[in-house]
Amino acid sequence: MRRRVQMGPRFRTSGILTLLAVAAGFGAVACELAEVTVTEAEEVVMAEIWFRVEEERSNAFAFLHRTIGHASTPVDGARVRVRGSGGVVADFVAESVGNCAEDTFPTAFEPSCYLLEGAPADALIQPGRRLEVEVTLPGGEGRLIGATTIPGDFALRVPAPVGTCALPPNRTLPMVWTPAEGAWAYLPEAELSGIRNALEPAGVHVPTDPTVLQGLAISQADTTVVFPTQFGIFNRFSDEGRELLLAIRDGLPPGVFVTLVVTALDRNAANWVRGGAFNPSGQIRIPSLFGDGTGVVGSVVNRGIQIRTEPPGERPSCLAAGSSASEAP
Amino acid sequence: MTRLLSLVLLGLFPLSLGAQEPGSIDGRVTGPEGEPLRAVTVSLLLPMEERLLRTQETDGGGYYRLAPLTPGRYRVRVLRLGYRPEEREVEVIAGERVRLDLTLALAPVALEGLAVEGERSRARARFEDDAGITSRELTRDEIRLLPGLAEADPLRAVEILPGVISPTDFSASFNVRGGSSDQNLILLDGFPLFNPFHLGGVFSVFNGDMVDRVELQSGGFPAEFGGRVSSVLRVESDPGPGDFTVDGGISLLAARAAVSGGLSRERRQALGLSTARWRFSARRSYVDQLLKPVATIPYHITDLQGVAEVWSRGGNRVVLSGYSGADVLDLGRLSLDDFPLRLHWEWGNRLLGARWMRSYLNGASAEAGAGVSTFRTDLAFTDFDDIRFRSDIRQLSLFARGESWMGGRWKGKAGLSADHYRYDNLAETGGTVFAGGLGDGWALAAFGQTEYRRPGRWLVETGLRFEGWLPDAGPVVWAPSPRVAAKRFFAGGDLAVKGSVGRYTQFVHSVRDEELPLGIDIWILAGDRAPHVVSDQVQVGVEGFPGDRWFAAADAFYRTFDGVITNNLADDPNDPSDDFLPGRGTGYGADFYLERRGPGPNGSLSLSWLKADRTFPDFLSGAEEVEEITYPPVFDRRVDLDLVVRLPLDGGWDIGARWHVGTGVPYTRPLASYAYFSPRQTRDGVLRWQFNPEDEPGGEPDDDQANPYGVILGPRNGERYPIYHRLDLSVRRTFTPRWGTVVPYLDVLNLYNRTNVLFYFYDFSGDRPVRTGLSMFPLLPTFGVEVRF
Repeated sequence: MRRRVQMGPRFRTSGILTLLAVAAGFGAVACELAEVTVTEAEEVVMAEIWFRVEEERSNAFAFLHRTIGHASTPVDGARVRVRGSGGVVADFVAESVGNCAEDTFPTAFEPSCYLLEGAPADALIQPGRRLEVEVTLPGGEGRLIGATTIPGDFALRVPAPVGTCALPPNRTLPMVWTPAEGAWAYLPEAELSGIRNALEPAGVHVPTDPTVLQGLAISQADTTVVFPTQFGIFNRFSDEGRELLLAIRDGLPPGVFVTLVVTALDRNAANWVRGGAFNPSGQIRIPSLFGDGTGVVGSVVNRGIQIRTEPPGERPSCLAAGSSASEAP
Repeated sequence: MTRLLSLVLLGLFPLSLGAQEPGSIDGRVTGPEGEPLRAVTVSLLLPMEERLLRTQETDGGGYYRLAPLTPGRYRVRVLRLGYRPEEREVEVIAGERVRLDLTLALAPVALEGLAVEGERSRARARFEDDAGITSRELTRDEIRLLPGLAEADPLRAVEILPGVISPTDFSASFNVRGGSSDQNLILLDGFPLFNPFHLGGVFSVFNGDMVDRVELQSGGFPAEFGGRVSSVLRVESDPGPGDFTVDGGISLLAARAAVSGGLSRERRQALGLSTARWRFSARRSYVDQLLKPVATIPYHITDLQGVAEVWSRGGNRVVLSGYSGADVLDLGRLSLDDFPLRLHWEWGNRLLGARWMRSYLNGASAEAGAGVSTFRTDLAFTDFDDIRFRSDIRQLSLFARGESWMGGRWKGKAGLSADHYRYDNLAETGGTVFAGGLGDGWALAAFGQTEYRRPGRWLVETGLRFEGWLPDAGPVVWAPSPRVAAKRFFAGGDLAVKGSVGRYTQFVHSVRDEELPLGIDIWILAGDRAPHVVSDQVQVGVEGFPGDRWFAAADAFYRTFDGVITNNLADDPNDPSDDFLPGRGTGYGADFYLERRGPGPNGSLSLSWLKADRTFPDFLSGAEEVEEITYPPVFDRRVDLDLVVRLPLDGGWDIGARWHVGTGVPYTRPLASYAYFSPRQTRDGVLRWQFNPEDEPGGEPDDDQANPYGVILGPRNGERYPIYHRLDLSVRRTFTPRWGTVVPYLDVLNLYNRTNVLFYFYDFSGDRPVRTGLSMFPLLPTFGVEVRF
């Protein structure tokens, strides 16, 4: 039997109870139906447009592709235009796909990538701004429109935003940041490098290095997470994920380098990431681009820190709070 | 509505409508030791004719009342299985009451004919005494003869009744006349059970050996009913015969035993009791214990149920009921090599209730009760103690009601109730609360109801139920709910046309997604997070007894449901008030029911036609200004047919068969899929396909992996699965050794192995788009044995 009941990084997980019951019940007596060929999948243009505010720069990209079965035709020649609240307008520029996505794709998949960088991006993409987006598709295929309100600025308080800090081995780090106005959620993400070698003596197999783990804080007011204990919440139900997470729940071993980013998500980004109602055929995403296609126009504000697991010494301690000067206005 | 209120007021203030004042006959039927006999059939006949004019059953105190009666001479016939029948001739005089007490002598030889009459009389009594309510009943023996999943299941049995839909084989949960499943009030001995299912809905918690009868009330409720808007399912426990008996059984699901007994005559006399009897049962799944030496089965269920009934010599009756059940899934007992997820999950109901009842010689009766019912589910992960999933709901109930003849043809009924609800839900992991809620509230109700009765011609019920809802947060609700029902008898009282109209309210919701075929109800209360449900309902029908053992009924109905809710999966985490979206719905249709009871072949035919819809804001649209969509809910099965045949054969053989046909239920079809990417902020925000073959040994996604494709959906529930049909068969043989009875049985579900669709899976990722799916039950034989001594 092949199950297609899937869980993703959704905010509402009370459905876990239900899904466990479903799996148990179906495992008992349900049978797989015979495979039947169905009519061709509909051709729909997918647009994933992300506005990012970083510490020192802002940028945006639009990743355009088509639904499976039609995805070998790129969406080249589209015009992606963003309009700010002051009437400032900028067009995205076509770039190589690697600027939008890692180059591992499904078979016969030809996406298109458009970027907005530099001065136009810095002028438009600022915390708290509302941006309207219009995607005009090539060949008269139509257009998509949508709008996003970028979350407000915020700052890390613990650890202080000092570039790279030292976290003593086998210690947890209770992270705190200031609220980002209008954020629907925060998605803290940690990329752990050197974790495979660091855990090898303990007999813990880490399949990939670097390994990425995510935490979650829901709502503008939820501005804490404990690193690394509360990271990897979407990896807890897999065999290898469980082994790794149990090994690091009270802290990281020495010799691990961590790139840690706390991301404030706007409404559209949160809706796209968390998914919608149950459907046995796959994930349902809640869109924010409408018209002759579908997709997301999301915005995020990132604040990051780098961590080394080592005794405090030459680097400042990650456990120290930041000064008020480092907080967002 | 003004007209409706006028009718109610008219009913509450009786007018003199009859020219000649009627008389009445009442009295009490007792056994040889003076003990009151309940459920005795009291029939009224003319002196020289065999045609029944009226029938009634004695209540728990042995009391009966035949009224109003046109002055004249009558015969009163009293029948009960196991007792010698009695008959008296009496003269009824205008405006006077005739007192007729009868004592029945034991007649140990069971007379089949008497049993037949008794069964018929129950349906007949409902037909004659209820104006508007649509009520169907199944006895324990009928439930046992229905082919079941492992063993007789009283909740699955109601699926054969008209107006009842069960969208999947996997769930004993059901929907009635366009209502959602949380709108069914399920009562055990008068007290509510919130989630009376095992294994997420596959089995009900009711042990068939403990059940005396199950009665489904699917519409036309009079004013005394409240709490839910769609149906009331009454499960009545059997306190046993008062002697030591044991009913036991073993099925593929569980082993069970029910032990009954009672106080000796001397002790009863010493305590001033005429009757004291009890019955307790235990049921447990046993596969985990049976396979312990060779395998670890991490799941089991338990049920403990008890009922005790006491009668005082003065006619006071007290019934105590209790239930405690649990499902336990303990995956922590498995080896990590077998299953990486170590969790302990328990859920179950607890109920304790007490009722006092008393009947009086003038036909009046009184009842009061108190009880507490809880449902709790708790999920804990052994390795990650920061994951907490729990859901609790508790209801404390107090009620008192009474009824009395008010003179002439009028009867009055009134009552009060107070229910306190409390819920506490939490889903938390990784320091983040995903969902949760905590609240409580009082539901207060008072009702008054009058009944005008003109035997053989009219029965009119008018009532007003006034309900208040006082939540801890949110608006206080005061809701008057008028109810009117009328029945007009024809053909000498064998045929009736009826109609009813009423308003109903409900203050609790389950937020379970009914489109999932299994699941556990998560309850919340009306208040600042959710509205209360208001349902206006009208139904008309015709019913009657076309033959000696036949009953037929047809109802048409229309219902509205305002204030139903759905989970808002696009809720704003910064707004605690938008977790649930209010909506509305309608349901209309018609039910037909034909039933034959008695010796020889019997059974029933139910045919239902339904059109239901729900309207909610379309949160999946993603639009900032959300528009509403209207769609058929998953329980919108347009045509549903159930044919049930029970065939007793020589040599102790019994055969039961059920053929169920239903048109397809709706589903939402995916139109296309797309590669799903998620941004990696630690890698400059670039997107990454959810499935990266470089990360996976062999490059193939497995079941544990997040689905790498998203789907684009067509219209909500815009398609329907193919027609559903299934034939089930039950074969039983009763052996009667000297010490008791033994009944081995074989049940076969889906005898001709019909492939009924549970889900379709659309997969667009291969060379060609394909559709696979899962079926419901295949051919599924089960067997077991029942023992009684």
